[in-house]
Amino acid sequence: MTIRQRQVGDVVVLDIDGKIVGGVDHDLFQEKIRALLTAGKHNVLVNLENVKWVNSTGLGVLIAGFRTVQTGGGRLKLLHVSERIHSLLTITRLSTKFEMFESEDEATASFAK
Amino acid sequence: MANESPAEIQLRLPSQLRWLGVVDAVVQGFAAEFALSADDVNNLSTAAIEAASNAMEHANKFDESKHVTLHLRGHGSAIDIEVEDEGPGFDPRPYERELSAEDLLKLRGRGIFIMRSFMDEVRFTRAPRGGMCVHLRKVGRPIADESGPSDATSSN
Repeated sequence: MTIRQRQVGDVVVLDIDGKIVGGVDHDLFQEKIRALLTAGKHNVLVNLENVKWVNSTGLGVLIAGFRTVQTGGGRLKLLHVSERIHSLLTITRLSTKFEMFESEDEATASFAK
Repeated sequence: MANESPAEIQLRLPSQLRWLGVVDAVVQGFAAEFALSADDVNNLSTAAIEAASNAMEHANKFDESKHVTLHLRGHGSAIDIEVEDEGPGFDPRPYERELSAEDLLKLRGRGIFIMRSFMDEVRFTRAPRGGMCVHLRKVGRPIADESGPSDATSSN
């Protein structure tokens, strides 16, 4: 997994590339999230456009990030979730926790609400 | 076109998560030869990845000298996958349940539930060489014919 970061207004977009399967992915993602919170960046949009699938440990990576941001007073949302990942989020009922968007404009605007 | 002839392949992987992409590629490629929908193929691959992840991490403890072996068998619209580890074995029963509402944001504990949700059958047995074997079975739903009424004549 690789993470590229870009700023869109008040929102940090994290473009994820590759598989999210746990292990080093967890540490990499958590380091990035903690660095953002330390820098005062609390609106995080995770772009999964280039992630074909995740396993349950990969779901744990996203949940850990979500919890860390929430604890830090911020919000983490998901963008461009594939059908395959969406069905995983649905059966595990995590779709009730994560806000998901298909449009980057709508996603970034949602943080202003 | 779906393959009516039975087929079987075997895949033996080191116990490292970076090989999970190979599981996806092989299961997708194998399942494409049989009469399963795209959703069924994705669900089968997700379940196989889940079983292989568990085998690598929890059973084989990422020990590079231990392997995870997948046996794939297909016939018509049914595919069976066995995922065998080289660990000490475990009792899957405590991990079968869906997480409760208050545990929804737990980091772990969803793997077996995911397998059961996506598969028609999931069984756990002891492998002949001492580890565990997870049996996954997916029977494809009939795929809707989107090409309209078929011509009664065809060439072979």
